[in-house]
Amino acid sequence: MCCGTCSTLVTKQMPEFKVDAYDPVSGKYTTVSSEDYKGKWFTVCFYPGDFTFV
Amino acid sequence: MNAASHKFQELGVELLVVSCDTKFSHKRFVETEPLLKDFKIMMGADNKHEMAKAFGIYSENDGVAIRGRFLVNPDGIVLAQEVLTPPVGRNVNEFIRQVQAFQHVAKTGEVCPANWRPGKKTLPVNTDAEKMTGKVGEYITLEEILS
Repeated sequence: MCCGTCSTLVTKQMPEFKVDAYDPVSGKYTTVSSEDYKGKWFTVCFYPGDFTFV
Repeated sequence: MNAASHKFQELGVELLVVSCDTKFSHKRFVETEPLLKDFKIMMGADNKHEMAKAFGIYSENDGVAIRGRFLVNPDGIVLAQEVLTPPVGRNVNEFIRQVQAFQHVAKTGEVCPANWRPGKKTLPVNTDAEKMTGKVGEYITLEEILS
């Protein structure tokens, strides 16, 4: 995997993850994981926090 | 991002937004913020900070995920990432352009030069690499790149 000298994830396998989630379409709580996005084009956007301003 | 979610659907790109808040906070945020009326994107709750750390965008100082965006192809490879400090928002149109370019490359094997957008010239490195070496200007002009 990573050589340890570079911090970018670009060109590497996406890290695995599993987190709680809120689905605003159904209004339900759920969980999502990297498995859910296997074989698909996928974008993840992190943001600093709910109720912040940008 | 949400306003353009139909565009991502068209491009076949699954979207996930994540912060280090809880799922309960996400629910209330969507319900109260007028700008999030009709918000449709799945919201990950990384309140254990593990996902933000795995993606290298966790700020120990502030205890938050900084503004990192990652594009991943169907093989699970990260093709692009952009990381901004919190006070500045992202440009969704530029991101859509990048998705279109990466999908074009994946489909054709051609490459997309600077400023490429759909309909503009690509470079056939898949077939013309030898002829093109040192002569890219014979395939595309500076005016075409800047147009």
